[in-house]
Amino acid sequence: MLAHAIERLLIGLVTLLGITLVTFLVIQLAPGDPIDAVVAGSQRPLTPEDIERLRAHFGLDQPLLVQYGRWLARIATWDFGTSFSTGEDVGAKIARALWPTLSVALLALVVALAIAVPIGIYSAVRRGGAFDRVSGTVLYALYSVPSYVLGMALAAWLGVRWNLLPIRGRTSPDFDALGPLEQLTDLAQHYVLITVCFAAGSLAFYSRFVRQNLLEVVRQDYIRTARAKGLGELRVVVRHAFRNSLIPLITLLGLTLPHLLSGSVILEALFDWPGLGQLYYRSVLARDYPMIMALNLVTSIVVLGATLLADLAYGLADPRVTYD
Amino acid sequence: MNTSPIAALAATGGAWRAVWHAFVRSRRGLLGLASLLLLTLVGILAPFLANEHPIACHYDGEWHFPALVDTAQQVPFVARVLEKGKPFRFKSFRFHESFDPERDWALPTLIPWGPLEWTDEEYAPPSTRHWLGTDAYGRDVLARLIHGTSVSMEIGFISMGIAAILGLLIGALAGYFGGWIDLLVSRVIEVVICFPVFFLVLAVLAWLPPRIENVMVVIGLTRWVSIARLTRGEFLRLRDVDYSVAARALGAGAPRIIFRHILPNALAPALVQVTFGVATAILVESGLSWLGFGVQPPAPSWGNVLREGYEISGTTAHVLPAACAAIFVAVLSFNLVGDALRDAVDPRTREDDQRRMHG
Repeated sequence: MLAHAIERLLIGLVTLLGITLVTFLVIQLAPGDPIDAVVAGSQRPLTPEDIERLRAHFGLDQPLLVQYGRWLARIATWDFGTSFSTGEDVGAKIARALWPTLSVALLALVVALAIAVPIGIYSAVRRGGAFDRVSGTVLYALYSVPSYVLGMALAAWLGVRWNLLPIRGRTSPDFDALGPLEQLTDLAQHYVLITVCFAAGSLAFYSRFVRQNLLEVVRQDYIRTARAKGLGELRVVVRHAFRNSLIPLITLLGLTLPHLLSGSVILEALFDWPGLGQLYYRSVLARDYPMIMALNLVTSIVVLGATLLADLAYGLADPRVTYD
Repeated sequence: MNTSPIAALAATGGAWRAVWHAFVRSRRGLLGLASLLLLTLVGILAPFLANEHPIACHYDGEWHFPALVDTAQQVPFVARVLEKGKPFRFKSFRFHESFDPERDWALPTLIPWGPLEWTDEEYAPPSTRHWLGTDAYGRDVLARLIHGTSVSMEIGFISMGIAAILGLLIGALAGYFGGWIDLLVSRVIEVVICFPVFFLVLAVLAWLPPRIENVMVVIGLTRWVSIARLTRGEFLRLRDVDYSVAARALGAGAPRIIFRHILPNALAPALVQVTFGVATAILVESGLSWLGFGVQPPAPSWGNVLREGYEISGTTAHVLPAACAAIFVAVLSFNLVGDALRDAVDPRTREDDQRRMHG
């Protein structure tokens, strides 16, 4: 198990190298000049000599491979450099954006599972019944609603028209002046809509997945045995069948993280959420390439970490799995 | 008559006919397919369905067929030989204002408004004049959505076409030859798969001029991975089956075995991926347009209508739902077809169906 974890970590490192190299080449080979962002952000007009000096300052006058090597060397000491457009420390900015995104992703995951698992189980048990058919159709339709389309509809109606929930940011502007309890309700209100949007798509996906897996497990011999020894249907389904249908779900959870992060760009731009997605969007708009490189690295680490965790959890959930 | 088992198998029409037979048994799949064909048709015929110029008209003493010319001009190179009549080809010409009911006669298109045509009826709610109302510039929302259909379908199909060719080729090479090619391809696939696609697309588009061709190529270049992975698996399975071995024994070269013998049998899983992929590409394009990196306004893409609808949603409620519905219907249709196709391709569910049929 430990050996396997180490092996996966090493493969993950190679993958990370690959991702950063791809991002680096894409940014460098694409038309346009990274220095443009600095020039655009400058207070006074820059002479060609100024631009040459800036180029040397950021190391952009070096060959590509040297630049990549230097970037790697700095990353190895956990130094992400400074932003081209704002001059702020990239690492600190990302650290601040990490929690808003991760907290929504985790919350959405919990919400989605809490609703999806019971629905999945019930429709598998009563396969072909009214509940199965109705929930199947509704969830299928929900699955085809893009999260940002749902987000816009919710923001336009619940937020703008009826003014029920806030749609901008994670906290109200006067957050610091509020009492502790008011702060909590303020946070909670801001989390509602964006969490619903993150959860909606995966909700449909998970419940279909739970139902499908349960139906496959129910065909197994040990389920027939459990029924034959006179166990109640509830006990058979929950204790014997559902536990065994959990295993593929674990892998699935690990694989959905890249999708959640992809979705975060639009949703966070929509809800003005101070997370990774919006930071990425802003950096891309400003062509801030130290920021883009660092963000790609960080999201890849998060995604690879989740995949690795899912892989290891798989072994814990299913004792039959060995890693040799 | 030849009654050998091989001839009997050939007479059934092979694997694809079996897939088709299983597919048509799914009512949802057929519904999705019908809806897709309709959307494609709307996309192709967009200038014929919604146009500020009429299909046929007698204007100022001359006959013109501007909407028909617009429709025909979508075919490559036709625009070079076929042009609209004199006043109609000028950008500044406004037919609705120049039209004189006493003097002229016209057969208008179903929606007699162009996707870019400004009128002074801003924020008009749905009516018999504008079926889905108008937006902040008085443009007809339905006309914009109809023309947006062709933008979205084009992006969906072309970008997934690029992805399919890349994925099939790379997957085939990796699966057939194995060895270091396979090792390399598998690593690359692993890298791209755990990468949030949208991030990569944005990173590339940030440095490219925001043109529709760039969007298609970038989406295509990031979406070949799952196709390559499935194709590789199929090729691994099929390269040593009897017919491949037989072809090799007969002296067929690698290209012939790959393209003639294995590829037709390895195509099905990739096709399922492509179907879902088109839906994703349409989504990515709308999302990009919404963020300002896709099709640039005022061009009528679904993402642009969505954005415009959202911006005025505080006061005008009818634009946003229309754009939402268009995207939803398209995605739903592709998902329905994709699911039915997957069930039809998967021999396990096919056997299930047969078992159910025979009791």
